[in-house]
Amino acid sequence: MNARRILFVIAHPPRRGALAQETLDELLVGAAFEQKVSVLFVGDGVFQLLDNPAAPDDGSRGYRALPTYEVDDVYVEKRAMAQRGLSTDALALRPRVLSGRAIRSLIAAQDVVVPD
Amino acid sequence: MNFAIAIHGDAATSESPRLALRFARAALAKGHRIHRVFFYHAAVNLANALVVQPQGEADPAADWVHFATENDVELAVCVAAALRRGILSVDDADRYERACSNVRAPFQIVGLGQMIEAAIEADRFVTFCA
Repeated sequence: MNARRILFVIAHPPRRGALAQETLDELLVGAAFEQKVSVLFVGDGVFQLLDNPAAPDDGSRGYRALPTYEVDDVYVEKRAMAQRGLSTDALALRPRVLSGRAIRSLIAAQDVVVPD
Repeated sequence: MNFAIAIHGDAATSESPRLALRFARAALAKGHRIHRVFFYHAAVNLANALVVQPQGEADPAADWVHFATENDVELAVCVAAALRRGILSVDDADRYERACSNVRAPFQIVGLGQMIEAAIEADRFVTFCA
């Protein structure tokens, strides 16, 4: 069976109950099934990657583990970062920053897109 | 075409169970197949047998049960999301020593792997967000 390209699109902010954790679980199961998993943070979803280890419920904690699961394709929406005054220095991972055009190409290249 | 459907929203707070059902009906009416319907996040609440809708109000969970029974469609519910929301199969009630189980047939409690399997096997994977 050929591995499928599965893109998870995270649009919700952290601290929405179990939503973020459950989405992360889904993503990691995809990686465990040896699919080509990538993840894109758009809109308020970029807040999930904020590097804030001092916070007891730091939302980015789970996403720090992505490289361990060989999920290396992590992207953030350029416009979302700019609108929120964020630079990638503020994030827990070093995602690639994508323009709207690049995001359209990324999505077009997937077999499956799973929103949160 | 073979569709897999994921539903993320609860019937009480989201339109997604209703919209997904309309999509599923339309897909079958056009001669497509439905590989599996996967209930995740708050959508697992549809499998709660203890929910009672007021008379005369829409009952999306009952509509899904009817649809699945009529068309032999698999209704899969994520076990981790279900446990978190107090929806327990007979096995889970036994394992976690709870007083009762409350999964409505024909909903089935399955692992999250079944969601990924559906995403791999189906021609199209369609998600209805909360």
